[in-house]
Amino acid sequence: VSRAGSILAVEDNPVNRKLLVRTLDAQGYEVTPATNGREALEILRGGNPRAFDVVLLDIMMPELNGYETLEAIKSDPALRDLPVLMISAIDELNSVIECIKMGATDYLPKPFNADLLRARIGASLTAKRLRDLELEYLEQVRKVTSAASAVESGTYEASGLEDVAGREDELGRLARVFQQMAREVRAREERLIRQVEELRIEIDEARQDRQVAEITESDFYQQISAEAEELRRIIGMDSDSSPDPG
Amino acid sequence: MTVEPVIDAAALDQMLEDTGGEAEFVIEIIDDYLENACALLADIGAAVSAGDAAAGRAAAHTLKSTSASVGAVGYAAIAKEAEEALGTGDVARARDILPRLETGFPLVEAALAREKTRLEAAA
Repeated sequence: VSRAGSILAVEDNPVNRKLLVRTLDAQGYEVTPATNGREALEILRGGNPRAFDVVLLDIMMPELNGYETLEAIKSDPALRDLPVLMISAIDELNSVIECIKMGATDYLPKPFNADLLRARIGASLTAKRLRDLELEYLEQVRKVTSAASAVESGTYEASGLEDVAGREDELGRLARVFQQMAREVRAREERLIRQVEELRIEIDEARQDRQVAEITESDFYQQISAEAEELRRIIGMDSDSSPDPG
Repeated sequence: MTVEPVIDAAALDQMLEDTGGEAEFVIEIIDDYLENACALLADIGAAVSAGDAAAGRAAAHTLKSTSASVGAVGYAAIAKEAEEALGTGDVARARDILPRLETGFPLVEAALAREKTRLEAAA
């Protein structure tokens, strides 16, 4: 069964962590618990950076606190787009504001309110999915522009655009038109190469004919031919008979 | 001033609903809380004796947070007072608050024991 989203829940206190994990599980999320910021970063950096959809991050923690962890996430290019919801006591608003300035998406007050938890995670998941789509789109635009450069440098491979061409939107249409045009350009190039090759052969043949003509029309050749004719006449051969081997 | 610790039964009922409806889980959380709170109380006492405001504040912060989670609202308020005092480095004030935390804890314990009985009966 597909879960609603994958969440990394970072909370040092075992009671609150257990409660948070159970509440999220009951809401249909796949939850991975971490006991402090250092452990959270190890989990995030140890696998696929896109394995998690949201991070729930407590502020006051030993080892690496919420601020330090948030700063590390937001300064890591592989993690910075991951939504981070801060967990804090309701009387820690100044800390929360500081975290939001640092890039946190929102916050959740403790004790947890299950409805608010669901609503804020839902909003973060929506934002994350839109961002993922945007990143995928930008990556595919990059593939099309790379393909254009490859056409220019003669290294284009049509297979590099297959996934983009499979899209049903305007970018997919652009990729399909591009593939078609690239195929036509390739076919024209191959046709021209064949024509050039054929012309080269004709030129070579003409050059050989001319060289033969130059030789046979030279005075020296004429003189040799006349002498050969005279020799054949002297030994009693016709010019078009083979010499007697005996 | 004495503070009567009160357990907000509605908070535990809400916890039961939010976590899937199994009373055993809520009872487990109560037991975990009591064990954790006992240790935190000792940590606050040790930090106050040693004049270590930062360590005392961290323990009081957690005690405040977990107490509120199990509905011990009054006890969470005392823990918050201790947290604030230690947050400003006022160890002397925290030392005055500490007896209220210590005398309040058995009352929280007793109230939660009653809640466990109630939850077990309803399960």
